[in-house]
Amino acid sequence: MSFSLVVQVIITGLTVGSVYALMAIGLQVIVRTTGVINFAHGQFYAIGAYTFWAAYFLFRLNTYLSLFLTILVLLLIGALSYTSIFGFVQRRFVPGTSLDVKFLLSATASVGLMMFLSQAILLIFGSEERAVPPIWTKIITIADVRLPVERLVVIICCFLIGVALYLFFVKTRLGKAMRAVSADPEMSSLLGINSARIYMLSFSLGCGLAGIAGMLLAPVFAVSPGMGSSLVFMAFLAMLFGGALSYKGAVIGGLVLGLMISFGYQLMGGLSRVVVFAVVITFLIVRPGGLAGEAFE
Amino acid sequence: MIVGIAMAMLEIRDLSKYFGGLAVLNHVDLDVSQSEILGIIGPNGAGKTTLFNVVTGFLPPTSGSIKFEGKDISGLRADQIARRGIARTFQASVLFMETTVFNNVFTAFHMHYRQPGWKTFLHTPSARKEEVFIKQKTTEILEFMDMISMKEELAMNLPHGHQRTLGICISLGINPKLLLLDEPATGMNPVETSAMVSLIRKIRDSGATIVIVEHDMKAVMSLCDRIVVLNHGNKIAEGAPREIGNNREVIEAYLGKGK
Amino acid sequence: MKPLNNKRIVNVNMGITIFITLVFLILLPLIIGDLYIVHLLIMSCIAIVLGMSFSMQYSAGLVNIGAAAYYAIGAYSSTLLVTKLGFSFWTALPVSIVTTGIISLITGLAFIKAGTFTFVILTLLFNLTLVEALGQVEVLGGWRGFVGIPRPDPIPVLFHSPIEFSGHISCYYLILSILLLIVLAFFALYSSRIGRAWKAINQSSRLAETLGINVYYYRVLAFVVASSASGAVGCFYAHYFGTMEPVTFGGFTSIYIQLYSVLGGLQYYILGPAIGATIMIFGPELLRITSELQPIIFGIILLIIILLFPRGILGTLLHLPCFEIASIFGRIGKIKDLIFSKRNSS
Repeated sequence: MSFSLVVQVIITGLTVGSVYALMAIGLQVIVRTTGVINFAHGQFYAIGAYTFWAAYFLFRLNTYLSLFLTILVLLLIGALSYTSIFGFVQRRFVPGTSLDVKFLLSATASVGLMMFLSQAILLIFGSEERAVPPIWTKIITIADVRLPVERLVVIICCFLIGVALYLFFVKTRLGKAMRAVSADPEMSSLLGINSARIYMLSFSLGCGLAGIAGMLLAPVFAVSPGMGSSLVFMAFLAMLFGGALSYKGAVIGGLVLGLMISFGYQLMGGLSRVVVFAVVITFLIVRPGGLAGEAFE
Repeated sequence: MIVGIAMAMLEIRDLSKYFGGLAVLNHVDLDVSQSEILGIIGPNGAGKTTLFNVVTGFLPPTSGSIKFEGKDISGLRADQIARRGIARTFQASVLFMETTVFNNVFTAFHMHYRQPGWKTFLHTPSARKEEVFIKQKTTEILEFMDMISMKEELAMNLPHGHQRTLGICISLGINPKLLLLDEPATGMNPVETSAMVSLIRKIRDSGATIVIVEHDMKAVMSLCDRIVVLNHGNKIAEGAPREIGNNREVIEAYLGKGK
Repeated sequence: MKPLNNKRIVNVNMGITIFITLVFLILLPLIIGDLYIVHLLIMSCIAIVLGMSFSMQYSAGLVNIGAAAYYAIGAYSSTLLVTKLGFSFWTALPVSIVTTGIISLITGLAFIKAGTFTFVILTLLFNLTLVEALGQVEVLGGWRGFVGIPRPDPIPVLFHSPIEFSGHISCYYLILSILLLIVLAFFALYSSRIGRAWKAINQSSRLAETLGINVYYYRVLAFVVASSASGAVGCFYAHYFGTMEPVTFGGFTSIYIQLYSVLGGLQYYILGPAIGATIMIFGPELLRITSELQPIIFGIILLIIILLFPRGILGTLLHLPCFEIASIFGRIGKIKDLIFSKRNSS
């Protein structure tokens, strides 16, 4: 492979990898705070992409307005989903019921939600791919290597979002409250933190992140109904690969996975996903905690 | 004069358990002799439940050795240790909540079936006979522990005190040589507590060795032959109840530094 | 004296119920003329086994949302054996069951070791990856899959013409026999020491461990037995339906399988899936729900059940006041418990 090809593959790998990482973090926020394994995450991603497409392309709103609108829509849908479904499940259970039952029913509910949303998206938007007109068309060429600005923007945005999240969790009151609730829900409510509201906001945040991820990749790749499912596969894999209880792990896991897929696709074409899955599974058998070493339970 | 050295039933040597950098158990040495009732006390966070978890295989030790009846059990799984004859109860009531009291204890006999799995699968006459035998044994335990009147109640409907007792009944089902009780008297009023104390004595008298973690000092003092005191993962005192009651370090540990 | 009498009466009652049900099931296709309904019955039988397989894993504390993977392995291994290696269906059937068993053993050992939460995710990922692999590899049929998979070879019978499987009705009897065998085997397992261990693990794996139950071993056992059963009906499906493509075994199918159990009632390991699967196979047909709308409707149904009727159909119905009162009289309660393989009966 020529040098310029390698660099391109790396750039693509980092682009998708940072999106995987963003999705994985969204998943983690939801799992670690509310205990829900959100299988519908991919659908929220798709909704983000479609909302952005609709705002930017259909209604011709300017970029920033579309951005803002998409994020708003996602946060609202996330909050709505949580309150109507998962919050309901969590509240129904008398404390003292086996924790497993509560979480497994939430997981089942999220599966139902996934099915519903997935088909709803297909029916509402139709099965053809939509192309979102690219926002940045410049290509920087350094020493014979073509670097599409688009992709660099994605990487940089994800990085910035990562930093923002870090600051959010460490510096803001709400972020600290979320961390407290995910670490020890009982103690948090004793300290006066309204757990129910935190759960809803965390879920909302997770969905918002998924929507942003969808928005970021919409101009780069096409928007299609199935985009969510294939991506959420990678998001879950990244989360497990990096270590389910570590945000740093999710980031590294996502990036490494992105690179593996990118190189794999170059070398093997369609089978790359299968091979990557096999590799990650073997790794998990040997080291169940993933890269960071901390698994569930 | 012949000086006999009785082999301890449980020998814990230099046992340490680290969580990250924190030593929850710090080079603990402990012996449990046959047929004694040993009490383990200490302020919250002293490592008492962790000790139980490591001995019964729920947590792996970081270093040190544990020998039961002379054989090393340090690396074994929880179910393997149970099969060697060590039973335990939990601080919170861990029961089969949606099953009857009777079936809770009946399930405990699981590893004592002598008929192989395939025979129970086919429901052969010998398998069925064994079931009847086990049902009988279950009834005996429930009568021994005075729980027979509520045998058809669901575990989750029992009042707290009876739930704790049920936990002990279940652990008796595996016919243990060594029984580790984790705060059996939690949440009990004085009447229930003294009933629990006599039950525990009854169990020891029928042949088991008992180690009990407990906060209720009256119960500990009246029940235990020997007491071990843990604080911050270290063993700080060991001896007869009266000695421990007068030990300055022990008193400081409970009242002094920290909470 | 009294308990003994009760048991006798209960056994006789149960025996009669089972006998009547069997007769009904056997005569059913002959009564119903419409071959399309017979086709639905066949698909229901397959769905019931798949649902029971999910329930068995659930009974040991495992939630497998990628169960269709093992259904696929059974179907594909049998198809490959018959179309590429010239096996007969009757040899391919046991071989594909064993193949599914081996693969489920290997994957089960790995996935279950990882913990119950990770297990849920890994089974789904495995399912999706398997479908991807089957689609990408041409030797395994690619995305277009297989067509023209032959029906089972005729069985020669003494003094009679051989039993042919070209028609729907004989296929129905075949799948019915497989279903009944599996039901019998599962029922025997549930009422044995193994089933008791599963019940214990389901309610509290920690407590089960303190009783000497090797949780890992029993979970893997449930997983392998259940998956092998899925493999068996997968094999039947391939040869009955004749065509097969990877997409059939994808994520949605796994979710439907879960729904078969949840709809009927998760604690009813045999009758729950029976009811849930039948409703989900016949429902869309009777209500004319297109395949496009199915995921949406089923998604909503799943959500409604989780939120409002978590006990499922059987659970909700049997806990209605009329049944509770009747159970005070003991007898009906005992029949209810025995027939429905309920959790808290011994």
